[in-house]
Amino acid sequence: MSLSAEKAERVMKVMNHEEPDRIPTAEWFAGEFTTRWVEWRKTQAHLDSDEKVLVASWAAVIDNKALDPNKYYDLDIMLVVPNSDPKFITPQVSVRDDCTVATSGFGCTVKKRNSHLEDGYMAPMEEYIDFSIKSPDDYARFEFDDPKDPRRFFAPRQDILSGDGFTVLPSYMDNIGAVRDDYCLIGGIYESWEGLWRTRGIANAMMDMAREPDKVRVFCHQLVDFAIGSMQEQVRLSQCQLMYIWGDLGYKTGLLFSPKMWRDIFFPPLKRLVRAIHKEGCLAIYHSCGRNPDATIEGLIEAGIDGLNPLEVKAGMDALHIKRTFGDKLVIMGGIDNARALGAPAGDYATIRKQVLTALNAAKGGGFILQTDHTVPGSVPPENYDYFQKLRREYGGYPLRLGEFDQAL
Amino acid sequence: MDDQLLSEISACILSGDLTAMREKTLAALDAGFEPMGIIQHGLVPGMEKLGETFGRGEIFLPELLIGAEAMKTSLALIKPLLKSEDLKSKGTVVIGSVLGDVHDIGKNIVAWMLEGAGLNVIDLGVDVAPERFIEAIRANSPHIIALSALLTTSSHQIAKVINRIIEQGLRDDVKVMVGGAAVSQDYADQVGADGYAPDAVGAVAKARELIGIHS
Repeated sequence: MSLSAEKAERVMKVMNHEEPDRIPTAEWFAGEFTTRWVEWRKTQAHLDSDEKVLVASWAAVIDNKALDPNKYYDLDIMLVVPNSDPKFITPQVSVRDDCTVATSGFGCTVKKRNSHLEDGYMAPMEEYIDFSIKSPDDYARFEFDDPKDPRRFFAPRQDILSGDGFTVLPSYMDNIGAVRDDYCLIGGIYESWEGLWRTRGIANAMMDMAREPDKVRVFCHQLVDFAIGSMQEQVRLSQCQLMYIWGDLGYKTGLLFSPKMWRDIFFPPLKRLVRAIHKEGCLAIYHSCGRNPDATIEGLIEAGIDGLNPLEVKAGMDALHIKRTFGDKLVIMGGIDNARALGAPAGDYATIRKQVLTALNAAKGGGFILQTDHTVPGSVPPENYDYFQKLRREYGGYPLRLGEFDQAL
Repeated sequence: MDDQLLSEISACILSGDLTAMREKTLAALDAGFEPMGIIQHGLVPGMEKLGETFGRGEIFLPELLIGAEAMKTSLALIKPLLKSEDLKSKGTVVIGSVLGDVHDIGKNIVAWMLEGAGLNVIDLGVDVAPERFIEAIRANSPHIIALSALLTTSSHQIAKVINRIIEQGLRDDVKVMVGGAAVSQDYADQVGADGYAPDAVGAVAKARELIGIHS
């Protein structure tokens, strides 16, 4: 069996709430973390020759010298996405003294810092400074380009809205070729809320939802039509069995909008999207940051989602509680605290051990993909992340033996 | 004079009705209400009620935002008529997201709620370098400087701003409030902030407490 087939079998077993040989693991690494991790790895005396020639995934295509934590830690899942901007455009990029300003296919204008701050951190996210939809009436005028346009999949693309800086990425198909033998692939699409705020701005979109829900509702269905097209083409080209849906319903202390508004505006297109994903033979993992109350999770399950990510611990999400509450109705992907456990001072292994091994109880019976609770930021000390992976290697094999941290479900 | 008008101005904040808010504010001004009186007896109670409703989980961000927009619509008509001493009378707050943090929605909501509480708010925006906070303290002599950070990677900038305020000998002149998803009461204590609030409603209460406003 090939490595990718072995990993796909492991992942699909837990997606079906069965126990494979070990808990599968995924991770999204911020470029800043990877850079720091590579530097740290180079300082490790035990770095052997095999590790030095590890082939990276994204980074390898861009820079063959890079080491790759995905490969080093033998992670199971790799997220690969095409250009999925509603409009297929060549971004207008303007490099200024301290920042770069660019337009994107969402019609928004974003600004990013060019350089690191004095303490070594870079502003890792973009600032949205303008949007193409300027009034509720503009929703009806917004035109979507073809989500299956071959250029989205076969041409290199400028990375504007994600990653750590402005760069040209290899094509989707080149990325697939670089990783398909080594990982279980997962595709990615935006659900309607994510597409809505990227085209209109968060505050404007929310005010439209309150004042002009009919116009927003129609636009959300158009966004999902587009996402379905992108998803179908990703499945056709990569044969991926999993689809990641960028959503985001919560913030630190609660939901962004009322459950009633969510059900009225976003639930119908989400349900349609998940149904389309299932029709293609894929399972759907929904990404929602912040605090997601149980009632909201029940709604997501009703919409058909198969898994939930990332269970942000700092927002009060608890993998064990989710497992106990929803059992085999939901796969958990995430739940390891990047902020306080892995983000603890370097070498604070007791804190990491307690949080990780407690959370691993949620993996009993399958239904759990180990991952930190969002992209690993540059503030996580590499040695802490390395210790987390050592715990995974030591305790992540089935049947689970969690010693003093063992809890009944 | 017709106090009913002030109640209706408060109600416009809860409904988020911009057209009605414009009409009621102009009517109140025509009827001879003092601009500061409209703020104190129309906008402030409306924003307090909006905040309380939000705090109880009865409304969410969209309703909070349209309420704040209604408040701003009224304030835009009233502000040009205020005397400069009126603007500063209840207290001044300088607010901004710290260097490296581009998130603005939480910071904006806090700024609007503070404004709706009758405070003079100077919003420096996002990704604000420590030096800009120092300049704003020197230029405006605020009672409070409010620092927001959503990202774990930018929260340490809060400590940098506070250290810079100390280095410049300004710490006794200004209270420091902190907030945002990356910040907690523990963090606020650790960096020596004077106040922390987990949300916009709490931020208004904390700001009033730090300034010494008692309702």
